[in-house]
Amino acid sequence: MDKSTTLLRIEDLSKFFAIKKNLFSRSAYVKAVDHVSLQVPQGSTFAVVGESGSGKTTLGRTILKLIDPTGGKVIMDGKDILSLDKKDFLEYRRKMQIVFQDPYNSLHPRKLVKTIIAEGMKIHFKGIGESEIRERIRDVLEQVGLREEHMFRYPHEFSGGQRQRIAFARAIVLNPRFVVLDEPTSALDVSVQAMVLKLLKETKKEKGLTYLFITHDLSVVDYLADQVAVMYLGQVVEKGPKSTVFQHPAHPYTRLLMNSNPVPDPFAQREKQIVKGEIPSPVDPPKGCRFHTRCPFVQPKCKENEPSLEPFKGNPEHVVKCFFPLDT
Amino acid sequence: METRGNLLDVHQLKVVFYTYRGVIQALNGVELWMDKGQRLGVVGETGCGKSVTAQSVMRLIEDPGEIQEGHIFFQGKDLLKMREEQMEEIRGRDISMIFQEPRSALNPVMKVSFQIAEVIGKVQKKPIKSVYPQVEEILQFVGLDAKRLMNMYPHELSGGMAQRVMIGMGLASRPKLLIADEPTSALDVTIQAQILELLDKLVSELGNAVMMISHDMGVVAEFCDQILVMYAGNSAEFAPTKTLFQNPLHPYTKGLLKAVPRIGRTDELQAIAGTVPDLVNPPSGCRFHKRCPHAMEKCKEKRPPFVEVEQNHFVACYLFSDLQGGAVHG
Repeated sequence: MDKSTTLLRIEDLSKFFAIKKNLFSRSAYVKAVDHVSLQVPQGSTFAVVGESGSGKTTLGRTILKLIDPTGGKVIMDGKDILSLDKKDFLEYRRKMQIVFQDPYNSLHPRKLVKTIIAEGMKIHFKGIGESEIRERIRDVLEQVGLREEHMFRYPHEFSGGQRQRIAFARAIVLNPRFVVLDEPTSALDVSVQAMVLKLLKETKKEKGLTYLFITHDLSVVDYLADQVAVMYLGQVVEKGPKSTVFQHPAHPYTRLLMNSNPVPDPFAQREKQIVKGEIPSPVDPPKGCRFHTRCPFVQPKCKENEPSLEPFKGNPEHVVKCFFPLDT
Repeated sequence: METRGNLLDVHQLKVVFYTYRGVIQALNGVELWMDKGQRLGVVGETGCGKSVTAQSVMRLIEDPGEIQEGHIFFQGKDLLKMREEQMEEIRGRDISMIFQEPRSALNPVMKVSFQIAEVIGKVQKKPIKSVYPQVEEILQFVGLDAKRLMNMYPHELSGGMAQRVMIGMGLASRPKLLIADEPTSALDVTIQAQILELLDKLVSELGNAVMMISHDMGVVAEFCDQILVMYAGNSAEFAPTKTLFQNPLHPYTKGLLKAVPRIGRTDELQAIAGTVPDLVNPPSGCRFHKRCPHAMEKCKEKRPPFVEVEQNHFVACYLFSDLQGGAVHG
């Protein structure tokens, strides 16, 4: 094994949703996640970036088997966890947790914070006593910057940022190894977002967690991530160490995405490039390269053949799915 | 009273909402003004009152809300003293507004073309049927396939297309002021970039003023030439965009700028301690004092005045109120 051990290997993971176009036609498929492979190094933050409809959320949920995959493997500890039976899988439910985007919907409105956090422990730590549970809840609340007395309150008594802390506490109290963070700060204001981002960063270091960080916001990726994969219409179009990809985005889509991000600096000098068109329907994605309908550098070849993910400039860590990756 | 800004001058605006929890003091003496053709960005976090400010200018505050005090001068006339019929002449004609969720701002059971025609018909006082050619023009004007859209319903549009339609409707009457309330917040970044570019192009062409309400410092930095930072129903800082970013004075503005992640930012993010106050029971004095690292005794007692600290740079903070009279803070 190389210097960084891989915690999670995702191989050719796919999730197709069947839809009926009309009563008499055969069913069509939305290829929400289309043969995605990722290697998530132990202790890293792996960011999955994309716009709405790119399949990033479905990817996160399929990895956790919250949605059954159409095909592919998720390998942890040398085992394909997707093929485990229910009993054996339970252990991985604990090891792999998730924090959802909207803290207003992800916490049960009629349960006390204590009950919300304790629920998982009662399932996963059999035979654990009430006082032990209470103690762990107190510790975890403190870790996420809340106080002991907060456990006797209901979710509606908290602000968005505090609720997201509770959701995070619920995830980490089970001592997971891997946490999927699905747009954890998108619903929050900037000053609160900064606090939650810092908390995520610090807790990761303390507890040796590994994150899959799903987001549409590249500036947050730059703050938090070590690795990044850019998704477009269900496929990974570029992937690599964050610093490499950000310094040298090779896929036109990555570059345009970075370019579209508004810069909070009126003195910034930059060429503004606008991506034309909108993300096409995933039911009937464009032939060839799926980005060709919007790509400013499109060539005839792109419309016919689909490029594969190839190392960029011979660097096997930085791969790009483009016939004509940007060189400058 | 001197008028500041030859288009819009909002003076000591106070708005309250009566709820079962108590009276929400949503706006507590907001100050802002705009010149013709200017692009003002109004920024702040959830609940700071930026949308209420916009709705007050349109006079859309309804029961249980109430505009309690203040003046809103539009081209010299106080909108708050106008009769509703007079206001209707201004609303949609001289001042128009576009919203965050464009698809919910459109009527789902009526064709898009009819909805645009209805607006034009009302503004120009013409029968709806006679203005359809103009509808096509407008759809083209905002970069849409006019022929195709004429027969479409709102649910057939993407978010970006719907926002283009809204912009078309908003600009159809050639208003002097367009209020855009988070026009791109519900859109993907690539679509956001398209919409901002479109707005930029159209507004440059038509020369109207824009009040852009946003929570995104990036959006206002790119689009606006003047920025108002609001906090808990107050105007905290008001300055030209470059001045504000180069020399932010109010501790809240400084905090906000330090909390924004951006690509290539190397310094650690700094969060603002505490949370936004509950406006049923707002803090005394300066509403920011409980979160402010520089809070002094007098901050708790009295609201700091909104003063010009350097040319065109206004701040409501006691750290600078003594500098009034042209002294420049370095």
